Amino acid sequence: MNNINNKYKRLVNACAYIVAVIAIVILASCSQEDSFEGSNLDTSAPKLTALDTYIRTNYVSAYNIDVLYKWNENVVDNNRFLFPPIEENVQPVLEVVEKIWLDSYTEVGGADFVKLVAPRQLLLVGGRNFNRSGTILLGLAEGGKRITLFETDLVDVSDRANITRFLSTIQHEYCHILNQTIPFDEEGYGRITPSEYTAQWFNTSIAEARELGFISDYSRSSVVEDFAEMVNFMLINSNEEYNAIIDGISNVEARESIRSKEAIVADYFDKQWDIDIYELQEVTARNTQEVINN
Amino acid sequence: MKNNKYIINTIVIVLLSMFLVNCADDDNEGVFDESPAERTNAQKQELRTALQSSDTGWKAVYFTSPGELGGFTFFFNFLDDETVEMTSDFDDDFTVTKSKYDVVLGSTIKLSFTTKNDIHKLSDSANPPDSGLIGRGYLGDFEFLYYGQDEATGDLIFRTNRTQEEVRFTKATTNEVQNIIDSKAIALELTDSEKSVYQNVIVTIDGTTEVFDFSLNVNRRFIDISNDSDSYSFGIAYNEKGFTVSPPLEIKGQEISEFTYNVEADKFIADLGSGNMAEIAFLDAPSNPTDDNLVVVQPDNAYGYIDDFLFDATSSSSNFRALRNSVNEGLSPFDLSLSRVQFFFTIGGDETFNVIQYQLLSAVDGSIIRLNHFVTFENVDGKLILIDDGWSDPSLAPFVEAIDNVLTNSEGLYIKQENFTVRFPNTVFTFTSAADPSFRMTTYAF
Repeated sequence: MNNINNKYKRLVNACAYIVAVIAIVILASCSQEDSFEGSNLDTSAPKLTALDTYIRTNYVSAYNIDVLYKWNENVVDNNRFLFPPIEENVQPVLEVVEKIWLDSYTEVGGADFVKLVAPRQLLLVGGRNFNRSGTILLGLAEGGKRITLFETDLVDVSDRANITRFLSTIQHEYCHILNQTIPFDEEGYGRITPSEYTAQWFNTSIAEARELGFISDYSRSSVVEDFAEMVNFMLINSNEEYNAIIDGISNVEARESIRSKEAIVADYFDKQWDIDIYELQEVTARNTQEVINN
Repeated sequence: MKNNKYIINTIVIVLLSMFLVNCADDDNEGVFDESPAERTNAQKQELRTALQSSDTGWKAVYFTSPGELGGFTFFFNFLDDETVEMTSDFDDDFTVTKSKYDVVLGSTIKLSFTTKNDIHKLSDSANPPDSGLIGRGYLGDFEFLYYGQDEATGDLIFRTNRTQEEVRFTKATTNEVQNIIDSKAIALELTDSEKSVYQNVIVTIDGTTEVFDFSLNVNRRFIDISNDSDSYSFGIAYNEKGFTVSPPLEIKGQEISEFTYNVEADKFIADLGSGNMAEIAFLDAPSNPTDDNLVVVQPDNAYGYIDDFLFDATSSSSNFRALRNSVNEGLSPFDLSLSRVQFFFTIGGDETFNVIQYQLLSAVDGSIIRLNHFVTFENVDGKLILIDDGWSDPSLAPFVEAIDNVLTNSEGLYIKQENFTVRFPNTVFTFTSAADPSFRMTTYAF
């Protein structure tokens, strides 16, 4: 027993000896290392223009949303022929977006609503994004993280139709982000006009689509797009304008289908987000009018 | 126990030697004196410095896609590390405008024009030269990978980010913007269809002369020339003296890379030396005439100019458009406009029964007035001559006389069955005035 203990002690000693030697070798091998100095990477603070300062204050600090307006090939589709916006056009457009979209959601949903459920980046592209088929892509929401807005250079802040078209992209894409955060009842929604969804949605006009129970032609592309288009049309129009659109549809069944979809939308906003969409509609319409008046 | 000691010693020696070897000098250490980040920074700085080194700025002739489009000339002036001013010959706005640029790391160091300016006009999906490039604009790029400076010429050498086309920045002259403005005036001498719709290329090499039909796609800056035996296609870029050809055109072993405008002769000439040359000139008549005038007058043939679809056709000449506009001006007080000009030949087999029908559309109720000019015809020297034979309503004749006078001019019309279509599959025939070859009307065959 003693003998075993002895052997064990000597083994432990030997191990300690090995560890000590290795430690010395390791320490010695590192002794020639240069001490750390300043980084070779450019870590200086970027020069901020008045526009950059505006973005930091009104978007980054206020809503935790970064705005990308300078070209960066890593965030755009390089198979498309797109280009960055004219620098002078960026701030006026962002002011409109802030007023009509951000301020409205904040007023109805609370100060932190957009801050918590928002795209982390808004990417601005100058011109139109034409597909080779001749159709136009108005916007993109990628994984709920980034909304790409095309046609920044074409925004005319005094023209209601023009602003509405631009804002409709945000309303539509932001709805996707809300849906990606908390899904809506796709199955129930899809049962309202199940047989009229088609990949060839662009072959029918908006008026024709409405007679089939869809708020727009693009609504017909899928249930998810239909839902986003419903939200979009409810928010880019005042309540009167929106009702006038529905009342203008001659097919009774189509009118009822759209009202059923509207009920699901209102229920989703109420139950999942605690937002009264009709109040949001009213505030958005008021803010839109203020932008045009100014 | 002895065994144990032996094992431990061996382990210690092996481990020690491994550490020692690990720490030995690495042969690779001496390849670069600086870290990758330092080298990248240095290269960025080198490009920034180079870009700002020219007091007069830079000129670049950018061929976005040499097989299908010509070149566009740019003037760049890099004012500081982030501001550039530029203009180009893309359109007729020669204002020198400021925007942002950056030097960043892509697949290598690249120059990126980061906010909108003239260079981006080539990359606008909404503005293609024609329907063949919908969604792709002029296939342009505005990010250029830096490949260093040409030591001999001082040029900055870039390749485009997407398609690796070489683009060279050459030091600009002090009046580069004026050169760009002048080059557009020279371009008009080549593209001005008010002179004549007929142009050809006469190539003389080793005493042999060949004549080619010439066709310029103005928007694409791309030329096709052809005769019965050969055809060539090439892009061009305008300059203050004429235009350059890229890639150089090779005909019978002779390379043609530059045409110069000769004001006296009103020709673009490439002088290749030793009596070899190529000339582009406007003509009074087609260089390869057709006998399509005999085809159109066959019984019950009909050809129609439809204003909605053919006014903008590239084959409708600007002089034709001007006359159509003047006809419409005269009609507008009556809320009428010219909607069609239709030819009906040898109606019911009767060679003397032919009509030029002018259709006047009412803006009030959409009704159409059909004004018939009866004509007889003769075919002389490859031309169709239409001879007045009375009007259905002579009181309306003065309203359309601007066009009618040309169609019934005694020198006749050159007719050509074209090899292209416009919007619809109907065969296209053009009617060109022999008296004024700047007048060409486009029609569908019915």
